[in-house]
Amino acid sequence: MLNVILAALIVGLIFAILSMSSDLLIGYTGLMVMNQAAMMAVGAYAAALLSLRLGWPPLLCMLAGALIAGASGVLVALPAFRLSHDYFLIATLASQIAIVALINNWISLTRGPLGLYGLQRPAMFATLPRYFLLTLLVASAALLLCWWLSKSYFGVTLQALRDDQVSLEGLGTSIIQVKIEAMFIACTLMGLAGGLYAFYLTSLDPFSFAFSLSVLVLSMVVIGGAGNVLGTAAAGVLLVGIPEGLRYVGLSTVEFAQLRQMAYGALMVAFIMYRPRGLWGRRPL
Amino acid sequence: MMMPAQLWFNALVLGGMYALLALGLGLIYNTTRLFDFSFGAIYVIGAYSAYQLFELTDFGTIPVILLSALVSTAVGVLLMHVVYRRLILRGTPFLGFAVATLGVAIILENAIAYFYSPVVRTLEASDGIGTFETTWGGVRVTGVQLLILGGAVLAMAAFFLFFQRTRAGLDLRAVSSDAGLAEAKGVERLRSAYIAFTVGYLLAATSAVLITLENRTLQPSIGHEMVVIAIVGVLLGGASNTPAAAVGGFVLALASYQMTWWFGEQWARPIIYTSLIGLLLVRPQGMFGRKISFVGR
Repeated sequence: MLNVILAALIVGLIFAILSMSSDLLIGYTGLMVMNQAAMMAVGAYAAALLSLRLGWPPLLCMLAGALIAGASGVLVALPAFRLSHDYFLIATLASQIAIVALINNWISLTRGPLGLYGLQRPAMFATLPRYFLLTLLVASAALLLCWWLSKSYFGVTLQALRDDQVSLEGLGTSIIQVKIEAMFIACTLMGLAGGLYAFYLTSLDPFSFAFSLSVLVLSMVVIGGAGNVLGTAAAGVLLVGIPEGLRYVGLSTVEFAQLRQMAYGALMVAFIMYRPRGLWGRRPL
Repeated sequence: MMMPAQLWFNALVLGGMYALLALGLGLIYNTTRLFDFSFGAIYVIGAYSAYQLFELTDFGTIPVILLSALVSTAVGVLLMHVVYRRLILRGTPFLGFAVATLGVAIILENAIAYFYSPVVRTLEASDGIGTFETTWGGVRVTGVQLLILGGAVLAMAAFFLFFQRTRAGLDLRAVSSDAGLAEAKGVERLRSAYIAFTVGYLLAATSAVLITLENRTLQPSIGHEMVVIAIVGVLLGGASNTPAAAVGGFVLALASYQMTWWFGEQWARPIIYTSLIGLLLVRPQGMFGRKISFVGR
């Protein structure tokens, strides 16, 4: 029973990292991203490959995977930085599909649909309770970072970018640079979540990072409330932790997954219609 | 190394369908400046209602196409009435609207997966159209392909007549050129949104049924892929220029076939979506779009 709760919490915390880093972009900067799952996949695959092929220590792999995800996030969004936000949505959506298709087809590197197996968790955090501690540690660090960023000068700049781009530019801030920095930080965190996920599962396949996972993260931001890092993180834990826990009591059929997806969809529509601020948000979406 | 004539013909057939998709989404985007993810769900509903009609009735192929296009357009208009109308009236910004339509798309696609199971299903044109086959100068042509070409030509002709020759089309063009000015001149925003969504969904549904007839398979998860195909078509043609989206659809289909011919099927998708990102870098206005003003430097 303890293991069930711990497993649910680990996945919940990983999703909390994803949802608060998305909130940094969606809620604070006003940039709509749709490639959370792909960024997570880049982090997960990079970490797994470094560990399996090069034999790097797991924690270093996660870190390197995170940085690779951050860099690739900036790279795919590069053309969209100077365009309006509609294009940002489209570029990230296209990169979501392109990256997952790439992972699926680059069989010599990723083994494609066969997936990767046999990851070794870090020796210090090999058991489930210890891995939970690691996840908790990383998630709290990420939360602190996001919270501190949102209060810092940088965070204020992000919100200014969202609310009044022209004035911000008039003050001499390079908008593109701010966007690149925000995207790099957020995608690095998403990649870190991916690395944690990879070593939690100890195996990977491209299907776990489908578009629907990006949608799930997005719904956490909507429900938790855009512009509130704590709120979106809490929504992440709740929205994934609860169904993840239910899975262990026997509700894991395909039908259940579909009903769950429908519930997320219904929540997204209902929140936008009746409470666009989300549960704890500061700014209506 | 160019493709053989057979592939050119197949690309042309697929291009006709992609053109309809891109026209539909482009019309919605240019009129409302909002992004509609439920476009893909309408596609899926169109495909599944055709499947259901073929299973339950023995109507011919053409009545099934018309009926299922009408059914899924009706679902779309209902959505517009229940959900999107409120959001548009309230002035929900781009982000919120995208999220709401995404939610709607997820509900609909999963509902279909729930009732029909998410497995791939097959469907075939029941009457002579499904079995007809001939060769033109070495190119094998099936009845379904002829039907698709005919349907695409008809639908595009109808769309352009509507868009260029009717009062409602004029209103839509006015809104897409300058929404504020059009509203000041008495073009109702909500009314033009209704028209754009209806026409856009009609195009999506028609194309859905025809593509499904050609591929002979259908799956609930195909929706968001089709939205992306439509977006790519719109962007290739030029986001501000609705009719150019049709050209974008054809170019996309040709490019997919050419990439498949050169690199194999599994590489066509990653190459095309990666080059879309490159296209945004080099020429974000597409082939025929208005020049886009960049934000920031």
